Amino acid sequence: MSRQRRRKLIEVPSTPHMGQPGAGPLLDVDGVRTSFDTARGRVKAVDGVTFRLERGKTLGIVGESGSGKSVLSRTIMGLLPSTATREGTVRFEGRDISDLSAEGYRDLYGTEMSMVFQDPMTSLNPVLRIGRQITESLRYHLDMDKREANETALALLDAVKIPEPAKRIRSYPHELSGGMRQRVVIAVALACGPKLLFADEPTTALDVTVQAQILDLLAEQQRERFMAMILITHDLGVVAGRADEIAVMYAGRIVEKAPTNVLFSDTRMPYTEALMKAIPKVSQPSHTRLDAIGGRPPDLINPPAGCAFSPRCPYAQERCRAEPPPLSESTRVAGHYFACFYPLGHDRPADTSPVTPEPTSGGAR
Amino acid sequence: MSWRYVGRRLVQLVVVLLIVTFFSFMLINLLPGDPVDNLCTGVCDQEQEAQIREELNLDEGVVQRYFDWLGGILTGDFGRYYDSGVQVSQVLESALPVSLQLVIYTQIVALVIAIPMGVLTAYRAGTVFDRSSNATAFGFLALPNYVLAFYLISIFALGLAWFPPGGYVYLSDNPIEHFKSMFLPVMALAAGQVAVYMRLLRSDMIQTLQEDYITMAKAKGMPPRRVLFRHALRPSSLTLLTVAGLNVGTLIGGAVIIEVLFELPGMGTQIFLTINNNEYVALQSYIAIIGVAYVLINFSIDFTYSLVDPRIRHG
Amino acid sequence: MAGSGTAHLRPAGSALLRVEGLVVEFSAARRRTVHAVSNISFDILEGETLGLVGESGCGKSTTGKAVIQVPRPTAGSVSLDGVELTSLRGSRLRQIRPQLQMIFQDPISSLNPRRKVADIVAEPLRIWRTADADQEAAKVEEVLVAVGVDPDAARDRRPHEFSGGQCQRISIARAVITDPRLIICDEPVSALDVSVQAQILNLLQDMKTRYGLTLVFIAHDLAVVKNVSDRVAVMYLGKICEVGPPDTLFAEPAHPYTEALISAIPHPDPTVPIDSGIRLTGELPSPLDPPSGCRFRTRCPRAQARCSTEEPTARGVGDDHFVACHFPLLEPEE
Repeated sequence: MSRQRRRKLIEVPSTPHMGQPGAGPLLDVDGVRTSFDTARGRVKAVDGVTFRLERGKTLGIVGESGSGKSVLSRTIMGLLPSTATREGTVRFEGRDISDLSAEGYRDLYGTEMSMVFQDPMTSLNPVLRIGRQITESLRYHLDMDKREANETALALLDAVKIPEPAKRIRSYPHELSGGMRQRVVIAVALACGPKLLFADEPTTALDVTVQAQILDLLAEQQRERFMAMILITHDLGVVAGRADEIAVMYAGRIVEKAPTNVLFSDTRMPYTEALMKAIPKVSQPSHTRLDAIGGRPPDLINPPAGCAFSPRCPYAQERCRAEPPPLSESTRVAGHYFACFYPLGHDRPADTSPVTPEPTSGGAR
Repeated sequence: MSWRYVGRRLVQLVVVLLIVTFFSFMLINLLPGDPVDNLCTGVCDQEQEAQIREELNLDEGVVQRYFDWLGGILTGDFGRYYDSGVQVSQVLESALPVSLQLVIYTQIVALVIAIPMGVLTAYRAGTVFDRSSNATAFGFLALPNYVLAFYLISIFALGLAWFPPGGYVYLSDNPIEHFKSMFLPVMALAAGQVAVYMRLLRSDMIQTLQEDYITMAKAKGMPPRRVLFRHALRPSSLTLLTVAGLNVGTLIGGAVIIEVLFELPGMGTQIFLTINNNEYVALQSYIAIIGVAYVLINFSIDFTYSLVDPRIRHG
Repeated sequence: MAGSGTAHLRPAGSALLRVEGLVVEFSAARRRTVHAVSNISFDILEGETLGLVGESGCGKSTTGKAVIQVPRPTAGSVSLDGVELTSLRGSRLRQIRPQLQMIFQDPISSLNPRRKVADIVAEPLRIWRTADADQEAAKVEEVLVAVGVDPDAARDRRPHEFSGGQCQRISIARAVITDPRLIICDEPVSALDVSVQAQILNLLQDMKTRYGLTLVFIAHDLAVVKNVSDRVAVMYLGKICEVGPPDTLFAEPAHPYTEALISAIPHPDPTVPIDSGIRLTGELPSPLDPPSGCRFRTRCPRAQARCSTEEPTARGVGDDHFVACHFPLLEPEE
């Protein structure tokens, strides 16, 4: 995309930048594996992940620590440390970006994809004024002059609802509250009008009332900009009302993926169910006994043979411990994938045994 | 930075100086030798000796002499040399600038080399470049500066004759000769400091590069050079700043061997001479000056902290 | 409460722990004062779990620490079983320490990394040498089994060899080994993964039944607090806003702040619409200079002139349900 066109998008941030019709999915991730060599051995952090994301849509990725959800996002964005090894292909707007050089990725950052990090206390540079942290990418990527960049930064601070932007633009991060800092981080991420935003646990470090504000803000900005979002979280509550589709990860793999309503109403993978049951809910009466998941999170260096969840799964059988179940589509609901040999509700009608895997998220191939 | 803070630091300065000067005065009196011996060179009788002692106030108690000296300092009188009667302040006027030049040039050279090296070795930590730089740095660190000075003199002054082997030229007299005369001593002093600074910056920088805001700067698409120097350098430089600042204090009058070797008439040379000649008053005054410099430098380091890192504010 | 007031306290003498008029202040730069906890009162019956809930900066952790006198509160009374802790000094206070235990948020850093699990768990016993070596070993074994850690496998290992959940089990074992009267749990599950969190919450419940524990459970997660508590106190900026039984308080909050908190909870259920009607606006005021009157008034949708001049005190709004608000969401009782 030319500089001029990019700039135009910035000046009218509410203009949706639709892709060319029929151009295929925005993001196409195919068989991605990422591993790290450590002193104890090779950690398979992401172990074969495939999915697609359409323009303007939100994919929620849910998992516990060690599920590989954050490593996956960093793999896609090319932000891995040099100790990492990666396989598989990532296509962005049809273009293979899996083997880009550092410089190639730099051209994507900001204008094509950007990221909101977990902890706003550590993700802003403590020694630079927040204005500088926003204008920096505007000037670098969009070639704005100082005045233009400042005006855009003010507009961005206003868009993320920071009161008195003209005053705040001169502030240092430590002068702002956690919620305000996360708004600044979002402003930085949105500055150059990305088509895809990774939000990696964007509210985990925040209080519940601030969390709600930030999630509202992300949803609003996403709608206005027709931006796709990958919302990574450990909290099913965060994605339940806000994602179009949810992928549940366990031990580096997607174990279930479905449109949000379907995932909650027709859960197939026992891990997803266990995760839902283990969360205390305000809707339950006090002292409700929680259905805890027994056992421990998997060891990623020596993962269990077969299904990684099988040692903790109440329904596991011989086959589960012998071979890993593929991620396959439900015959009941199109677009619902799960990796389980003995899925929940298999006795319900219109279901068959798993078919050959062909994970798509509804995009025409 | 409030005036209260400045006031508090000034009080601290006075207290520190009183303690430093008092104890150094006591210690100097424990030095072997007696200034009267130097003046008489063995030919005085007891009466003459007593007379000299009285003239120089050496007949008074050590505490009384300390307060006499302190009273003089407060009125701007640094005392006189026993031997020549020359005003200490006159010598100071010529020696202090030489030492300051030596120190400042050394720090500039050391930092100009160490900062990019520290940043790059941190960025390329674990690579051949990093390891060979570190090995070289340790080599210079292990080499005492006077040994390095001998090598420098024999190669660049005596062998190649690019630089004078010693002596001092005033900057105002002949800038080119001035820098040529300072080049070798500065190099001898800077080599070890480069190693220290580079290592300090490298380890702080490696830590900073793990920070989320660095990943964020990369995710903004900033090129490595900008990430390193704009985003990572300042938050990593506090330790470096502290040590470099303290080194300024140490080197004023602390580079005795180098000053003597290169025949630079600085504070180090003067201190060397005053110790040799039991010039208590002059030595005491030099120590006080260095003490003031030390405390002032510390004070300004604290001040620069808040410039480097806005989170540090003095209240 | 979001003022002062003691209407919610049970009759004197019936409670195991009774805290009245607790004030904790810290001095800040430029001779300013951080008003961390300002005149709060609460009590806990034997065997009860009091949930202290609120967002960061509300003073809930400070309150927990003030109860065990670390640091000592600036003012107010903390009495455990009739013994006034604030007036105890030196060895008298240390003697009572085994009765008060604490479980922290970060299970790994709250255990000494260089010591073996058996030593960590036995340590509270050793301070007063109440047991000989055999008794001690037996007790360590008992509590480790009770928290679900295999004593033979764990005894000689060190904390870093365990997962976060296992470390939290070890912390719990260490806390119960002295048969304490009261345990303060400061965010005990917030550093844990969802699947492990449920295990630990269930374990706490089991330990409570088994050892007859009385707990102060401090957390920011409302669903967790609701699950474990017999009584909940909601805190905001160093004050208590509302006290009540969890089911009532969550179904019918009386304080506007409680309502805002509850409406901000994300539900793990897409059929529950996102309630963006009640969003708190503005920033948490500084505890250096808290608002006059009701501390919540600067962000309260119901605030009126009276709220800035007069501090509300606790009033009953239902069965064991109290609120400190001039204009509560429920009709106050006469």
